[in-house]
Amino acid sequence: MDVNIKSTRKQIVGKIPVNCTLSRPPLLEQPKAQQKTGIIFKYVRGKYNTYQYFLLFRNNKIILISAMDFRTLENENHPPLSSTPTEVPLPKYPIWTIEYFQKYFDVTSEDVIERIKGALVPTYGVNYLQRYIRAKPDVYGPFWICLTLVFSIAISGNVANYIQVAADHDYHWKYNFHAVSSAATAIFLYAWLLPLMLWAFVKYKEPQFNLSYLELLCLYGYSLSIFVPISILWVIQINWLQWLLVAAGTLVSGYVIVFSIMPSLGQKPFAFIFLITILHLFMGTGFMLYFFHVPPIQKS
Amino acid sequence: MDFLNTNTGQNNFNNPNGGHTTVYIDDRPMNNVEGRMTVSGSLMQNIGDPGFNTLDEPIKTTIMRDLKAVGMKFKHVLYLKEKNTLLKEWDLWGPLMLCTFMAMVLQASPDSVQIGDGGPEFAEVFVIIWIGSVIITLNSKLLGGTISFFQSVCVLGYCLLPIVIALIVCRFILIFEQTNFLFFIRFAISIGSFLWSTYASVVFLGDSQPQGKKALAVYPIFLFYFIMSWLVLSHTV
Repeated sequence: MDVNIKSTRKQIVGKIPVNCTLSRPPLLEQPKAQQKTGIIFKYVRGKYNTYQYFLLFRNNKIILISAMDFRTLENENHPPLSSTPTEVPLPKYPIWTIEYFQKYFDVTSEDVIERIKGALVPTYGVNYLQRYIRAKPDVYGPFWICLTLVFSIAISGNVANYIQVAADHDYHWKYNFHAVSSAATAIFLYAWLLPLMLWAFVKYKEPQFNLSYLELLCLYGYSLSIFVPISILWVIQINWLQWLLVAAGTLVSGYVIVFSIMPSLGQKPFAFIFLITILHLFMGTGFMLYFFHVPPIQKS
Repeated sequence: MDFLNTNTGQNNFNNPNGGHTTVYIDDRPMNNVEGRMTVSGSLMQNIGDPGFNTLDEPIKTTIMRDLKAVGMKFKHVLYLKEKNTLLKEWDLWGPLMLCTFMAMVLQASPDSVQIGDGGPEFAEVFVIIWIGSVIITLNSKLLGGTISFFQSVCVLGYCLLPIVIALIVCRFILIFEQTNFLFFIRFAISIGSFLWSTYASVVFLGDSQPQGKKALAVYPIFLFYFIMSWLVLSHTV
């Protein structure tokens, strides 16, 4: 649980009258996954020597007090009536507010780095989805990884094009800004629309399919992160190296996707897996051929 | 219970299984910065006076006051000494000027369309800058940041200034016959302006993020200015 107690204390002291001390740091280890519980900590108010229990959620935003669950005591000898955090539902926000969508962005920097690392270097026998994503899928990662990939492909595609042209001194090189829009279309279609269609299709064929669209989106988004370094390496104009990188990229991200989804596919997963693999291969080779393997431009 | 407005009486207080009250505390940070819709007036000593009004002053005074306010903010982006002017009294005039200037300089020249100049259109630069800063701002709000929407857009726009300066310098360098050395100078200038812009906006916006999420909010800013300086470096015609 990585909440800074100092800042918490500051926030509370700002709201509550004098003579208050925070008696102890968080006393319970919380499972990282559960969003609905927070840290419980005790808050002693000096003047009347009463204390209350607070629930602090990870995002530092909501502090819930369930004072009535605990008896106010003169001394500390009696244990509190219940020391487990109460399950309190998060407040409901309507869909048009920012707060409604904040639950999809409730990750810390370490979470995101861990998830990217897991997708870049998959461990054999580890279900990526179960291990990293399932607890709390986020939208931050897929969105910014896709956007990074759009620009890394557009920029290094331009550099690759420059290198191809630079050998030919007659041609005046012009950069192609519009690679950005085609890369954006391709990548966002692949990472955002394909999971939706896949989810709908598998759900239709296998009603007991238990993954949500959000989880699939998160899986696809994070699995694309390997293509960011690869797209930079694609600049090197050596044919076999480019194809090797295609193979490596599709293998790693395909492995992450396929082995995460496979357990949920029921008895006959192979048709789906074949479909996923084909689409994935198509994506990897498509990127390389379209943006990096341009045939030499005609002299004008 | 004097500080909390609970609706449970004293009777339930000693009954362990009795009333269960949940109370929401408004725990927004006390130093929450807020924007104002005023026209950057605090530079004039007497704008807050009760008798002061801008109706009967010459237009020149009004425009000059706004221009001075914009100029002051430009100065703050370059010096990075004082944060409040840029944050408290946001305006979108400066970003509009910078953005229009960039879009005008960067747009592909129409006569080179036939031989395939691939530069962005005027509207594309314009849209990238505005949509980009809106997306970054939404991202920081979604992560739980405490800054107001237009403040953030304002800061991101004003922090384009180093990149605009780099664009002017690069434009000047492009007059001469291009060599590898001149390309290297343009490259260095673009990288320098990118770092400067990123650093400036992180200084202004960094404090508004919750613990452990700062890197998540800074990364989009980094990407945004990186793309803008890529456009500056790629601009060759």
